Amino acid sequence: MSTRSLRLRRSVVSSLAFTLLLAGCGLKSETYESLSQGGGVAGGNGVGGDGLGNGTGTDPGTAPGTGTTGVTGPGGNGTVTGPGGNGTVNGPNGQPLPPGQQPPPGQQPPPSGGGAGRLPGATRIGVTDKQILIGIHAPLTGASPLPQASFERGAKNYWIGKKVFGREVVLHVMDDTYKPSGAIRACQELARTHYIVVGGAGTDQIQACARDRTLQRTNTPYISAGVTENGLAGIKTYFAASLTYREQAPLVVKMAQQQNYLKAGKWAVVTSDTPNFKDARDAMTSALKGAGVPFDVHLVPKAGSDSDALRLSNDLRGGRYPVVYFLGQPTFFLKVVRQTQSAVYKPIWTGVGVSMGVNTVAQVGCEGTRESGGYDGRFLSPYPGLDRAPKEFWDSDGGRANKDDIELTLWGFSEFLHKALLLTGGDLTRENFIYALERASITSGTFPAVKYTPTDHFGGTAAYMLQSDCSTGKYRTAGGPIS
Amino acid sequence: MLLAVDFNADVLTPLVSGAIQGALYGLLGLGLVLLYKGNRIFNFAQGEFGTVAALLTYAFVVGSGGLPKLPYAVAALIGLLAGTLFGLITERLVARPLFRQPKVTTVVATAGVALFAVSIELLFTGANPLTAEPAIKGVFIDSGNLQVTNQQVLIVATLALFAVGSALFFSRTRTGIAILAVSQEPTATSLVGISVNRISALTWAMAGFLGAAAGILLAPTTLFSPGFMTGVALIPAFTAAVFGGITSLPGAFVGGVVVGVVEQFGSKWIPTTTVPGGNRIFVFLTLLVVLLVRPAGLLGKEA
Repeated sequence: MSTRSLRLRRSVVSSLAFTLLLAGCGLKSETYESLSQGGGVAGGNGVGGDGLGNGTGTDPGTAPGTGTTGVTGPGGNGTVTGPGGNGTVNGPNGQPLPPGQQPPPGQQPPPSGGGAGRLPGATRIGVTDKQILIGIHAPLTGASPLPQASFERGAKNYWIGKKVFGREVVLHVMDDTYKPSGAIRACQELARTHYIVVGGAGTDQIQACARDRTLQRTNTPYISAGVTENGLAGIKTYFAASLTYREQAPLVVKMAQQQNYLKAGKWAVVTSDTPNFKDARDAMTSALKGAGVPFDVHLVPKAGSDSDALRLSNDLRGGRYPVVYFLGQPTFFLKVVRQTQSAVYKPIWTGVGVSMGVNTVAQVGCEGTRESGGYDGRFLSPYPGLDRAPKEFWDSDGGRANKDDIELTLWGFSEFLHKALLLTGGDLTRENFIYALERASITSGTFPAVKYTPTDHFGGTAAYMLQSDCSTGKYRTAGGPIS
Repeated sequence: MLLAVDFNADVLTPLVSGAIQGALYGLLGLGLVLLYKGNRIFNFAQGEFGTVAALLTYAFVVGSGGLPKLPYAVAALIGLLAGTLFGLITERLVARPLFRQPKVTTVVATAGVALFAVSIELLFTGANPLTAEPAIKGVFIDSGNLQVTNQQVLIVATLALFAVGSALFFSRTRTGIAILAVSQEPTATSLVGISVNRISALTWAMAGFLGAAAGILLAPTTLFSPGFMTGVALIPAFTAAVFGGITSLPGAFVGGVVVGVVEQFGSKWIPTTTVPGGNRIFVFLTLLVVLLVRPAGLLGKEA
């Protein structure tokens, strides 16, 4: 073999090894983002019209739209009546259910077809005579992992001894590796086998799944906590079960006002420079302007390195901001907290919730700042701290004491899901679930009430205020829900 | 028009912060250079020598996983031994059987060792980030933007010590010269009575020790979890080694500092909103310029 070809071979193998290592360590950059506001996504065989968008049945239907995102489809059996953008649903059964009201078991759901906004079809994937399967994708590995054991326990606790229309509800968790590509893989698999898919965490991952064609083509209801609104507005199958980041911005200001740090001085508004956080950033800066609070905006890379964290820490210390609003990757946030704080500079960290399990953030934040006097985090959350968890939660699983906030989240979500499933009246088709949910107001207990309409699937209405407590390494409920 | 430059915020802070961050890269780079000098290979497992050491040190300091709670110094010593042992095991099970194979085979094998190590670490510690106590608490400088902790001073001092010590070792001791001889002509070296196997084991043990030291010192300055040294520092450390001239131990030190400083200035002066990853582009542009001007790197010769 010639020296040249040997060198070439060595170069190729070295490059492969290098790539393998990077991929194995989760360093491969993800670029699945930058979805333009209001782009249409569905297509292929589509999901029918929704009364919102330009339901003209384009295939593949990925062209960006304008205005409110249209979930487009082939029409076919679709019943699109909206002119696009701000179209309205005119179905004969379009009246919302009174808040909290549930149809009695066995009641027939509103008839399909005919009514505008109703998805065609009767998809019963994930529903058997004995079980209703719910799939959750969440980062169990990757850059901001959530504890798998908590997920698995939390998925079971609420449903022990409970049935919905004579069926057990079983939640399965699948790792999305904190990457949009991983989330899409997980969601597509779950959509083929489970009735409903739930987004566990990660804005980009949630957005990727919500906009995935497989989920939309199969009318898979997709529910997550509120995150960005970018690219998610108008997706017929997507529902946010809590306030979006944009909606929470005025509440961050309200929380600061109630806790007397709003006017502490100039704020730093730190967000990842992903387009998915632009709505939140704009809303936050508007809210601060409205309150007459001066601020500086700092943008950080989405997957910030230690070097990026160091640079930001230097800037924050230099600015001596008394309050730092942060929206970004949890592990990056914790690195910044650790590197920023000192004996002479200890800001209040606030925002709409930095979570890889909120108490993991509190614990690591407290441990990392022990030398500089502890971590002062005050964040909004769709659920209260463990100090205000319901008694039934603590009594579950044999009264096990070491339950955590992940389990509480799943408990609260299960309460919500339970009521949402009952709305179907027993007709457990995906299309009927979506139809019923988008006309519902649900007060479920642990989560604040949610209220959906056919044109607004961002259902959150309020949030709790959490404050870190380094004596326990956890967040405690400082108040709320506020709205 | 004169640009308004705040000397403290725009010049001094990125310079000092970058140099400290770069010292960490240099510390890991030392191990890379050592193995390159000794075996003519790039060791992709170098970062994991450090991760294993950091995780073990942490486990003994806090007494997690059923391990006894030990004083920091003892725990760090165990971490250093673990890193050294990891280097030795890698040599015995991976590098030595592949000694006569093309070097690229060993390079690929070290990538496999790294992935295997990350998996084992995950098995024992889980994926959650951890925070370690510094070896020396307290702040050395805290003025305006700039903060330098005592731990960071320790890192720079350790790197300088190791770089000089290693350079002296290779130029002034028989063993150091033997390592260089083995890397250049193993057959002839064994003919004059030098045990190639013993030298190979020694080289890997030293690399393991240097990686372990880097991991134990880096962990308290950031969050750490399985694979963190590979994720955080391996690529910059490779860059530092190339900057310095891949065969020069003091070069790794200088290269690390250069990478850190350039990265911080890049971060400061090229907003990520304008150029995503601007700081890294800045680093690689600088590397290209250095290699164009000095193809052998900044200090590219056998030290």
